[in-house]
Amino acid sequence: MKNKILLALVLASSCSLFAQKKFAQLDQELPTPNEYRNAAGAPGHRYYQQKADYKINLTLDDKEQKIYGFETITYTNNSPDQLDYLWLQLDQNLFAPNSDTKLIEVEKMEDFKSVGDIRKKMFQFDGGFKIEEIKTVNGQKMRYFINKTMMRIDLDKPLAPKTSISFQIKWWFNINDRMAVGGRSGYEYFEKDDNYLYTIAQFFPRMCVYNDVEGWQNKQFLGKGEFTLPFGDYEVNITVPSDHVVAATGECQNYNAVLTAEQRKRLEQAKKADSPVIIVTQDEAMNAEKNKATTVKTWQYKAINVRDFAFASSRKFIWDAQNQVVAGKNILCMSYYPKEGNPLWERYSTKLVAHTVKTYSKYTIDYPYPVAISVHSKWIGMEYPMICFNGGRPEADGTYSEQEKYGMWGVIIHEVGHNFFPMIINSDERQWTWMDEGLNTFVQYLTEQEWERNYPSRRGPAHLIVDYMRGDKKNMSPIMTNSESIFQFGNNAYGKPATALNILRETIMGRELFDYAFKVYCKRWKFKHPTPADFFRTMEDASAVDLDWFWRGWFYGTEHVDISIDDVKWYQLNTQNPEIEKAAKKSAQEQKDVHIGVGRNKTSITETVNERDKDIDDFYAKRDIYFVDALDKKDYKDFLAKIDSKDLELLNANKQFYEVSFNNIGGLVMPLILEFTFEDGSKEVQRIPAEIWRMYEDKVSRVFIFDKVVKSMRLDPFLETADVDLDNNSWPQQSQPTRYQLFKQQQTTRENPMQRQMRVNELNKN
Amino acid sequence: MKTLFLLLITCALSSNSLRAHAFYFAYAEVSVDEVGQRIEATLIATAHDLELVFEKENITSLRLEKALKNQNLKEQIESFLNQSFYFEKGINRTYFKIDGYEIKREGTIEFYISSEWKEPIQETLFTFNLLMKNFPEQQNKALIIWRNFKKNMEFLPNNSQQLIRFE
Repeated sequence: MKNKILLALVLASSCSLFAQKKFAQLDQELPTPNEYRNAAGAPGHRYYQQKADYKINLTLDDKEQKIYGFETITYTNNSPDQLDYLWLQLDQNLFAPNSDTKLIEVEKMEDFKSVGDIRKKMFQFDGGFKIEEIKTVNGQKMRYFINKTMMRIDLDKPLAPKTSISFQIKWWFNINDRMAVGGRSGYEYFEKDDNYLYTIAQFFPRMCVYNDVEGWQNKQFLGKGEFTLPFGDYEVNITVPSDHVVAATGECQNYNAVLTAEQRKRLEQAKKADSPVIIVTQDEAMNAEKNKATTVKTWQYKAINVRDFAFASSRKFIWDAQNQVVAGKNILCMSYYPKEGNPLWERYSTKLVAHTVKTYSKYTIDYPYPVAISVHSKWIGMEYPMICFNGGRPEADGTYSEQEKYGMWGVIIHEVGHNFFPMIINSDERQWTWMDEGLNTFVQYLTEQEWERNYPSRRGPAHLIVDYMRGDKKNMSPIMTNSESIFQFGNNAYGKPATALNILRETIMGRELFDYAFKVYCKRWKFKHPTPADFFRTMEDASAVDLDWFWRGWFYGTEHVDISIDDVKWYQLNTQNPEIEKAAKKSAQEQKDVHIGVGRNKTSITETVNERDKDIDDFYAKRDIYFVDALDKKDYKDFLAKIDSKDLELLNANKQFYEVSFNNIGGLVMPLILEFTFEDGSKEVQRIPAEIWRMYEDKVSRVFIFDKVVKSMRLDPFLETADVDLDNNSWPQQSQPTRYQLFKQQQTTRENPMQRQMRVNELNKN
Repeated sequence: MKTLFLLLITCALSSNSLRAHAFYFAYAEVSVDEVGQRIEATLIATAHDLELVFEKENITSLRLEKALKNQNLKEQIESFLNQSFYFEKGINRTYFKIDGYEIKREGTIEFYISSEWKEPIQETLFTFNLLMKNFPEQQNKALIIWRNFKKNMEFLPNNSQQLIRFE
């Protein structure tokens, strides 16, 4: 309904008064800035971090599936603190028979319906490190205590600030069958050719981080919260069967000893190529599969300034590589995969590695390492410095579905992307999974969109998170929750933070501001250990955008976005001109609904009394209330004399006023993005910052002024705010069809197009 | 008390083997058609999760798009879905047919399913424990649309069956 108003200001109004909570600054929640981490979100002037260098000799026993290792660790204490003991991570102990991981699984009797279930429950894998000795480099035994997945080495003499200690550990362990036992590393067994493909990580006792935030980060490894480790230099000698091909963190120092002349030649070609060059061919790999060498070779690796080391080894590997230039530096991008991965792996893997390294460098920091590797094994996705293990396997006949292809692409981009988060920007994933998984998933999305237009990213755009975010909050966790306690791990620590960053980039800050601030964060904290506060502070510090409301809502809370258009009131200015106003009133009266009797009476009653007897109608019956008389004209003339020309122009401009009321049903405040469609078909978008909610968190209203009449309006037309209910986003109200209704309208099903094409080709042959 | 074990072969899968996957989430959008006396739903899950489970439970080792083209396998999959997604009131219980499906490029599958339902939806028991027996971390959500009402429901392994109430 249209209303007339006099020339007056309309103020934004509210229906409720609330103490301001959502826009409260985050000062209470964030740690106090100090000399190690300052208020700008940068490392402070006394920031420090420890260093751990490793020299490791290990042997892979392909017959028994065991690893035997011996390491020398040199640990440098750069902190201002004296250390009485050192803590190391023993992640293989996750598989030990007495592991806490098994004990903390919630179980019910209905989980044991079959003999198979019981057998699996009672199956004991003799996992875990078998520590044989720990001693100083002088041969003196050291005292140590193992607390499940953590080991404390007690020092006879405390380690003073700015000093180092070297010590040696000897160990072995049984490698887990990933298909049977699970795990982030282990082996995949190929029954058909009786061969193993090893993807080995967390295979040595590793130093824990000691820093200003946690002291020792020695929270137990329960399975979900992953790792943080100090940086250091590695020299690793890996002894494997002589027909194995090895891929590892760092650069191999002795290709002369482990590759044939022909393979070395291909490798040199690959270093200059901008598309993949095969170094070990499928035929060579298939030959190796059959022969099973009984001799061994040792591959020697060096890696500088990395936080971890991992490797893969198999006689089944096909190996290809290409060069990718980043900021003038050559990065050798490589893939290792069994023939079962083809044709997908040969066609795409190394190109994806190269693309990922290049694109992530654009948005974060220049990739600093000499190599980036993708290794294929079944049902896996895991990351280590310069090397990652990825799943995605075609069918035995070599065909694959579109979904399989995109899945493989996504996992390679994601895992290679982890080189940046957390391998280089070394956040504490034991504590905060989101700091690497969420940030990485966000940049993964950007990288996917640059690989292919309209890439079907599973995470990133705001509307993809709404199903997770709606509903009862008692089974949801804030993003800022320790890794082990998260409900809905994937959505919470990967999807929601990635979505939040995408919203910041596309809607709150804009791409230019966001990209700059994000790069500042990455540059500040590369090769260091950032915390959430460092990230939050840096993003504000580098952009001048107050984001506390955003961190508070998206990262510290569990509310969702559901903002509705509650009410729309339409106003026009009263021109005071009787010719216009009375004509408008007459027109409005003529358009009003009338009772059905009125129309029927017009035909059924041929003549009323007052139509027959002219004496019945008096002044009131005869007058025309819409007639513009002399007094109307005089009043208008007097009005014109008082008003100035600018106000008159405004009055006659035919401005349309819309007072729109919004209700924050979901709780999570967001900007108001409105698309207005006018009667002439044109559209206009207006964006109101989220600060409109700063004083009134439940309901606000806003007046919009146009030169044209609005036909309809839509809130969040570009799906930017993760609004869970679009039914209340329109005026006039419009219900969105359900997915089932859309399906009924479209009625499509698909088969694997590649297999269908094969049948088409067959038909064409005939 | 003696308890008889059934000879169903089920297998709890380790979530560690699918680490970077981490999607354990299924969603259902359910609308109640009182005039047609039907419940229509879209059931969304990660296609790979289902394929894994079907392989472990010896239903099929085929990819879903192949399996669903085989009538016999389609019925087995239908039966599997109905064991973990159903409405019941008294002796009445839904049995959903797969009217269609779409495997999305990003890895989810949407099943478009419907079942006769003549009972009022209020006070109906709704079970949605799809994949919970196989993945301990599975959490499912549903949106029930009835007349002008919408209700969000969350299901965890220890709370996979709930009464529908619209206030």
